[in-house]
Amino acid sequence: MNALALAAIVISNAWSRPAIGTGVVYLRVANRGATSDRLDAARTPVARVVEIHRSVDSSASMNGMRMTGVMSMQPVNAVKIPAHGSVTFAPGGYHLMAIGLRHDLHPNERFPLQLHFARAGWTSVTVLVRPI
Amino acid sequence: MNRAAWFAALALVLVCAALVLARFLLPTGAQAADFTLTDQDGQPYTLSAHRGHPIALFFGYAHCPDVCPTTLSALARAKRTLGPASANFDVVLVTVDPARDNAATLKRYVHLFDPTFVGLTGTEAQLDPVYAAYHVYHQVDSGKGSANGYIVAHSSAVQFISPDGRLRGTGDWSDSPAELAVLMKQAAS
Repeated sequence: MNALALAAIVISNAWSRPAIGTGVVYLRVANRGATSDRLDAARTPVARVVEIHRSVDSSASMNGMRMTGVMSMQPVNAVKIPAHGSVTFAPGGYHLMAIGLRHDLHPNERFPLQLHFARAGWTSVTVLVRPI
Repeated sequence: MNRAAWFAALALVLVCAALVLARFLLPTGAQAADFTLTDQDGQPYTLSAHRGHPIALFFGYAHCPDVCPTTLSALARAKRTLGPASANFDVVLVTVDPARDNAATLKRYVHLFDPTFVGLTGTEAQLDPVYAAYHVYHQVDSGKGSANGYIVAHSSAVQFISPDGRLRGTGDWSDSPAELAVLMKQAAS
């Protein structure tokens, strides 16, 4: 772990939705450092596995005809966080998939999440399950 | 421009035209196709038996962590925004993953968002004609190495049905609660 790199990574607005079986985490990762980093793993005690996924709007490749849009998801090995930049994990885009939830996620619940960065190492955040 | 480029341009125009036509294959005002499936309590649910209720109908599955909860959440908020005016509005999720979504699973899932939401499942033989009637694409994708088992790519449209059983507009997962509330109001009127 690189202490300087860890100090450069700022996680904010980590939130989730009510779920059974498979949950989601959205958040914003900012990199205040001068070197890019990569989010390449995550884990939480509330789920068996956490994977990075990206939802893909197939209609984007069909001339923007969202009405016929087919949504799918692709696992992603890592997400680059550019130097002096940020990446927002949000509905319909990058998200963390919490697979094998050990209990249903209910509104207003909080749970811990650890994120791993290639340079910065592990860092922890608290995720809020947003009420509907 | 050379010949190949002209053909490419022509092909693009034809694809666009086909997509525009596809958009209107479910014309507003047409009778919504009837079906009988099994609801979250294990009881039969027949669409035409719910005349008098406006309905928001969409397709998804419980192992879907991003797009489906986004849609359920926005529909729940839209319904809440309308208050008593939306009291008899039925929000109905039809599974695209009958292998994993039984009635009990769907009940736990949709009721996380709103205790009035309906979740429907059935056999493939029961579901396939429903997917066809509502032009719902769904494809199990198991080859991506996800611990989620498999992912189901699926159409994200929300069909609104008026109390007299007619198609009255379409939304999708990316619509805000306010946008969905407008569609709900329009379907109920």
